[in-house]
This record gives sequence, structure tokens and C-alpha cells, in this order.
Amino acid sequence: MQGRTGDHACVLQVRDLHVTFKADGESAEALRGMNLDLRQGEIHGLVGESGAGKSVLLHTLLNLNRGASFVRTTGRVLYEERNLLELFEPEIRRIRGAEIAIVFQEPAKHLNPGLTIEEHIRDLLRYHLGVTRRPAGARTAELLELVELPLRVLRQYAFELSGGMQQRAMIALAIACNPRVLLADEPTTALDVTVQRQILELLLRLRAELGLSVLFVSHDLAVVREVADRVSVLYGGKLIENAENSALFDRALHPYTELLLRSVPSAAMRGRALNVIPGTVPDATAVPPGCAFHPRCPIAAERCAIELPELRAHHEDHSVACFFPGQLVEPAGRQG
Amino acid sequence: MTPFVSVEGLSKTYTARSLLRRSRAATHAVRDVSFAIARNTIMGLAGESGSGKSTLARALVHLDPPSSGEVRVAGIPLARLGRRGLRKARRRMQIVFQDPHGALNPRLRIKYSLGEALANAGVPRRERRARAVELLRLVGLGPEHLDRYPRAFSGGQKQRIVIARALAGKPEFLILDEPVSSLDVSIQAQIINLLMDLKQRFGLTYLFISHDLSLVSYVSDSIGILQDGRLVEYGPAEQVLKQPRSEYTRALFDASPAMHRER
Repeated sequence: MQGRTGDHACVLQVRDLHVTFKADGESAEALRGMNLDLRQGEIHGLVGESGAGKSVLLHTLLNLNRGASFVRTTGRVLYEERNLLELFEPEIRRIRGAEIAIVFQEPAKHLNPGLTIEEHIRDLLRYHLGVTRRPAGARTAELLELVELPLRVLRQYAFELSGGMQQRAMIALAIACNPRVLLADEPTTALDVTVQRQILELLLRLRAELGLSVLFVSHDLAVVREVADRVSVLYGGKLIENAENSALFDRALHPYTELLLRSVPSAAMRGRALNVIPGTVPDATAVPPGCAFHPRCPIAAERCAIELPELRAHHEDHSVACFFPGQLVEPAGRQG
Repeated sequence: MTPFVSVEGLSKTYTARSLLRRSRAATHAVRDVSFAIARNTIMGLAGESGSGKSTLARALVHLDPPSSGEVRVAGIPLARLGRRGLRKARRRMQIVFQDPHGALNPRLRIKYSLGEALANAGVPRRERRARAVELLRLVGLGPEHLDRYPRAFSGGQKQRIVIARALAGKPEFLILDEPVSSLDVSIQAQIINLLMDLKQRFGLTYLFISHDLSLVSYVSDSIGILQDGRLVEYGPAEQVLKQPRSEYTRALFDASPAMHRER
């Protein structure tokens, strides 16, 4: 299911991104120097547990951070040689939802219950592309065909559709203006496995047909393993490991990644205790100094509590932010 | 050996009467389900949303009495018990639900949540504090947690407290309805290991309900697959995993993303 990009042209680059919120009077840094490259045409899996910064990153990419608790963003989000964080609202609005589109976990929450699917698509086309009534009709039918929905869906409301069909409608909206980048925020988490499979296959097909670059955010390692070309692991508001799919899943270098992979239950693990990472994920108001993972890390040394390991290329195309990459010992009896 | 839990021909039908019309539409949420769970083993129950997993769980302990069929726990047919008998029998079986946030009263300190459960289990007042501490220890928490409110705990800790409360009446049978689905991956492993330890330690019997086939494959001694209220697959875990009998089971396993490829 995986394809590889020939060149390494990037459509989206995140550089030294810091995002700060205020929680109960305390300042909480949700992203603490995030760097990320989204390459042209790839599906980039972004995994992490709650509080790792997945959602904040997506919001920041679309410049959507606001509200009373939001304090500031620093750093750069580069798209077509422009820093999205410096754009004025009218400019970012032309990009958001058109060139950079997003698909959410619960489509029903993001579709207007008072509008039919056709009205959603028509409004979007009119807003972004200024398309008038008649040409919009042709494009609408084309979009439905792309996401494999019957034409009758056009006259239906979100609540009349199943979860899988709602997600297809959401995807149709996302690709309506020919985006270059698709942000997918846990797009299959709320779906049953058979429907999940269909949506994943749809995303893979659209990537191939439309040349989309997809940032695929999920807490589900197995799903990411199935669809992603590259995978980045987030922990405590930082990117701690980044590699091509099989390199990450077969030869993880960061102790957190490796332990996380070992903690997933499966038939192959029957009769053996699951690996456990002690403690809990750090709260953004109290991220440990040094490497954020050091209090839970079995191979942490003194320096891990003091120095912050930077993300470095360990070998070609595989980066890790750890002073002791790949040094976690294999548990007995794992091979074979 | 007689099974600890046996279910024979269990059905649950809901009738919805529409406001305007006289007609009644019957929904067969669970149809003619039969299985048995041996003492100190785990039966995993999987199926997609709407397949009847939770309805089955509620009917099993007679929270919603089944429309037909018989449930026996430790040889006792639940339907024959009166209200008081049922209440007593329920101490021997407990349900742990998916959402630990909704399961704990946010206005009650943990000691009261546990105290209530202990009172229901007939533990005398003066022994309750010591028993509450003991329960917390069982799930990896300590006496310092007694005076806190649920909001002070993470999702994983809350689920530990919910499990501790379920153990208050020294149950023998637990129904675990998606017990880790709302938790982070690394926390899921902690709770699963805890549940497996408790099962060994107290000789517990589980019905483990989950939509996650990898998880069901990992924990179960026997596996049942529900589809539209029917048990379309039921047998020892090894057999279901290697040679599923129903087409539907095969389709489910094929669709399920796998973390560990066959080695």
C-alpha cells in the first residue's frame, strides 16, 4: 500500500514552532520547537498520545489558534515560500480549506445540519473559486464520483448518512478546491473496521489520483503503519523520531517509540504480559526538563534530565531526538 | 466441568411505539445467543457498532431483563431470583464501562465513591476506610488518593478507580465493556496488564467486550463475534483466530489493521 516519493520536494515545512496557551493561570507550551517536513505526494503519519501536540499542530498549520487561553505562536510554517503565520486573515482564508484542506474525526460535528451536502459543496466552490450555479453542478457530481457516493446524497443532510458516508462527504468537501495538502485528523477513529478500511483505501486512491500530500494524524499505530509512507512520533510537544514507514516500525530508535510499539496487544503477544511504559504522558504545564521522556525512560542517564536532545539524522532518512538511540535492549523471546 | 457463566438462547427485543401510529416496530437487538464461560477464563466479544455488544452485556446481568432465554451464573438462573436475590447476586458480577469520566460522580471524593460500593457490599462502616485503601492498593493507587475528587486523576487512574470500585463486593465475574477504548496506547497496556493480574490473583471470570480485534485476540480464551445481534462465531480463541467459521469473521479480521505481522 506504500509508495515512495522520488524527489524530496516539500510542500509544507514547519520550523521551530512554539505554541503557548494559558491553563489555570499557568503557561503551557503545547508545542516546544516543532520541526516537520511534509514531502510532495507523501502520506505522512503523525502519531502521539494525548497532549503530545497533534491537534495543536494541525490548528497552527491553518492559523486557527485563538480564544482566551491562546497566548502566542512563534516559528514558521512555510508553504509556497510564505510563512502562513504572518499572513493576514483574508490571505490565509484563501488558503485554508482550499489549498490546505482538513478532514476531522467526527464529520457530523463539522457539517451544518441545516444544509444538504450539495449546498455545502456549492457554498465552498462559490466562496473559494467564485464558481456560479451551473458549472458548480458539474463539479459537484464529479466530486461525489471521486469519493464513491451516489448522486442522491446531494439532496441529503448529514444526519441521514451513515458515519462512513459522512466521512466521504467531508472528504469530498476537502478536495473540492483541488488542495495540495490534506490534513487528516483521526479520520477513521470513530468508524468500524470495515468502514475504516474503505476510507483508508479512498485516501490512498485520492493521493495517487490527485497528487495530494497528506498529513495523517492518528493515535492508532496499526492504522498509520498501513497507510503512511513516513511516520513522525510526537512526545511532549516535540517531534522525537521521523523515518520511513518500515524503518520506524521495524527499527525504532527512540526508546519511547520502541516501548510504544511493544505495548500494543495482538494475537502474537498472547500469554505474555504487555510491555508497559510507567507513568503518564506529561502535561503541557509541567513538561520535564531535558528530554521530556526521561522520567519514564528505562535507559535514561544523568544528562537526559539536563540537556535537551535535538532531532538529528541517525542515518540516512531516519532522525531521532535521543542521546542513546537504538540502545534499548530487546526483551527476551521477542524474536523467532 | 460446568461453566461459571452460561447463556442459553438469550434474546432482547425492543418495541418502539410511534406517537401517531398504533403499530409497534420490534427491534431484535440480540437474537438467540448462547455461550458459556469457564471459571477463571476470558471470553472476548467483538462486533461492529450496533451489533448488540452492550445490549447483551446489560441483558446478561439483568440490568435490562432479557426478552427470552436463560442466564446462569455459578449455576443459579438469574431469572428465578427476586429483586432482592438479584441484588445480592449482582455483587458477584460487575460491569466496567468504557468511559471512566462518566462512571465517577465528579462531586464525590474517591473515598465516598468507594465507600458507597463497600456499603452496598455489606461492609460495616468502621471497616470501610481500611478496605478502600486495600482496594486502591490492588489497582496500583495509594491512601493519599482517598480524599481527592475525580478531576484530579488522569483517564487511566480513573479507570483504575472504577475497577477498584467494581472489586468492592469481591465479585467473581466482571463484564468489561470497552474498558480501555478511551485511553492512550501506553495507558491501555497498563490497564490490560492490571486486569490480567487481578484475574489470576482472584480467580476472576471476564466477559471482555471490545471493537478492537487485536485486543480481543490478545486477552481471550474464547471468542464470540456478534453481527446484527447474532453470535455468528463462537469458539476457543485459537480456533477462531486460525480457522474462523463465518465469512463475516474473516472479513472483520481482514479489514482490521494489524500491528504485528505474522512472524
